[in-house]
Amino acid sequence: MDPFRFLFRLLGPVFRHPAWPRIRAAFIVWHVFAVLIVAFPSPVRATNKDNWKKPSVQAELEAWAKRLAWVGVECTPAQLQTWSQNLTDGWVSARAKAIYPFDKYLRAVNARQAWFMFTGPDREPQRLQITIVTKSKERVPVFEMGRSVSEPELVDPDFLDAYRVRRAVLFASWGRGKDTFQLLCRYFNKELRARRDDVKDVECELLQQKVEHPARRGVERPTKVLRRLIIRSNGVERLSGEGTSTPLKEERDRATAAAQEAVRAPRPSKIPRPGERAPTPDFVRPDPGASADSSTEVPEKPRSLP
Amino acid sequence: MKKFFRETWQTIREMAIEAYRQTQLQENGAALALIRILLAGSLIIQLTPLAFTELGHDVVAFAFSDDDTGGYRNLRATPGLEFFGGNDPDVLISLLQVAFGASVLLGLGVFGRLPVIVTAVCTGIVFAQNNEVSGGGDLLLGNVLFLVLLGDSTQTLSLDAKIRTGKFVDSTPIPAWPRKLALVQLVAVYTSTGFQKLVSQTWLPFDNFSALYQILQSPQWTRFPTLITDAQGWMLVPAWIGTATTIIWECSFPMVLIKRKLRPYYGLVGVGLHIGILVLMEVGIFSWLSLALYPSLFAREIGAFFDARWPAAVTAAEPVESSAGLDAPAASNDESVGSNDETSTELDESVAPAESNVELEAQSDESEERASQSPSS
Repeated sequence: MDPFRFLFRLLGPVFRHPAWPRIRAAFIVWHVFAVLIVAFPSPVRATNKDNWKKPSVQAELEAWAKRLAWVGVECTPAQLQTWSQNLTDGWVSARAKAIYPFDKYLRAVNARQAWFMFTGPDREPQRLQITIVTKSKERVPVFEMGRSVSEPELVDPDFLDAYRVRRAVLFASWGRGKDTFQLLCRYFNKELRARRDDVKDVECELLQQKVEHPARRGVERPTKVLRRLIIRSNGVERLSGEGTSTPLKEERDRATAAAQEAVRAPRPSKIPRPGERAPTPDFVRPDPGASADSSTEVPEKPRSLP
Repeated sequence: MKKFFRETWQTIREMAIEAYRQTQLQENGAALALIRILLAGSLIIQLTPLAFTELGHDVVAFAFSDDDTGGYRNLRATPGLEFFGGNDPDVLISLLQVAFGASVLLGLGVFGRLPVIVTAVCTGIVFAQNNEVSGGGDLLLGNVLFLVLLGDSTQTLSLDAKIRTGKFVDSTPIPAWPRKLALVQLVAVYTSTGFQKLVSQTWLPFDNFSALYQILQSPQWTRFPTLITDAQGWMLVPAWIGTATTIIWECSFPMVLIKRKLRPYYGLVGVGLHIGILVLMEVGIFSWLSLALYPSLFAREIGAFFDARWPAAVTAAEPVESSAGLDAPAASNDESVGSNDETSTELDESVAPAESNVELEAQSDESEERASQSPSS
């Protein structure tokens, strides 16, 4: 009952040709080569500079730097990162040229090879949390991904459990998925407003918490807000947090408190003598590149403009 | 220097001849048929909730349709989707329903390769809409569908066989290379992912094989996000064993090509790991599809089982009535079982045709007519 019988009959002379077995053999060898070469491990995702900033990646660099120091190769995590980035860029660019024809073929037959599966655990995974603020200024938590769904009539827990939804949230938590976070918030904003009339603001937060390491069980792991988007009823959006130009409200409050504390702090009782180090207030981060007695150096007088 | 080049050339030539010989081998089609049936089962498991439930409608609209029609991002329809009616949830659901129907036909083994093509086109169009929500499972689906398309997977254990021969089982040998490509694909997937894991210390003894312990706390993957913290430490040892087993098993998986006697152990560990993944994590269709490729590891045993119970109707003296066509072997099915040497490799597990293809040209017209019906031959 093969409906393609006519096609095979049409191509019969080709399959009966004495050269056909050799052509078929060449195709099989080509396919095997293509699969093996393109599937060969390649750190394609490491070419994205944002991915290097991920805490899990930084933790890996730190661990490898320590491991290398143990075998006598001294380098800092930053040096190791630079070296790895250069190596990765070179490797990925050379590989891209080498696999070009194979990759084109595999894409054409929808047999792509990219097997990055759980290369490293996300040591600081992120969770999406949605809260609504009603017109009576009541805060109603709707759900926290992977934790609880407080309002199952607003968002179906099975919907959040679906593989494709999980993938979207995972993408939003990676460096290049910053826009996806906003898109997800807009989606839930639309859905929640359609299901409930008294919604004033919809607040989306990307929460981050370290996972428990087997060697550090029981250690407190505070949850911090990484990014926040508030969508008002008039459609105005307010984005703050990591990767944005606006710091989170908590960060601003902390900064303000630190500044006020600094103002209240007693001034140095004496003027340091030449060669003596001036006391540094704790809110001022010392420049690691500066020399030990830089604080006593007389700064160059700025030239006055003509 | 001349000697070196001569020897190198000789080696390459021998390898080419061996590779050519491999492409001529034939075997019982039951292993490929089981891959087809398991592939159909995996598709049915994935497509049923998406294509026939209200929740599935919401998920499809969220993930694959445009933000104007219920999606979370602005997605322009691909040319394929445009052809079928544009980026609308109803169109997407219809395509998935057609893919579901084709998967059922694929499982039943009817209409030859048509259900494979329909499933590949429909799922390809829908899942290619948004790469942010696609993963390894979608890649593997494309690969397995392509491999099943290459082989004559409805030769046995199919309605096609029932219609053709009056029995569901037809032990007539088919070309072995599509099944071998499936095995190569399985090795490529596991080995590639295994070696990529080596960049992370969490998969190594340096960090006490802590990878799974940490991954199982990630809300995006785990089915039970508080399992590790609620377990009060009793998950430490299972996670440690799981991590060590996974990395060793994946990195050494090419051994199945070298040592045949190791295949049952690798198969058993693989099934165990995939069941663990299915229970503890949400990785889409990936685990089901990986398991669907496992019959490629045991083609000889599966073939022997079917040959013993349902021997082929042909003998060595007769031309094989099969879509295997130009490779029509003149070998008895007992030979397809191969030797009992447990250390034998993939190379000697199938039946080599007794005559070359050119010689077969002289065979009966009827045989050639049948031969021309299969591109895999």
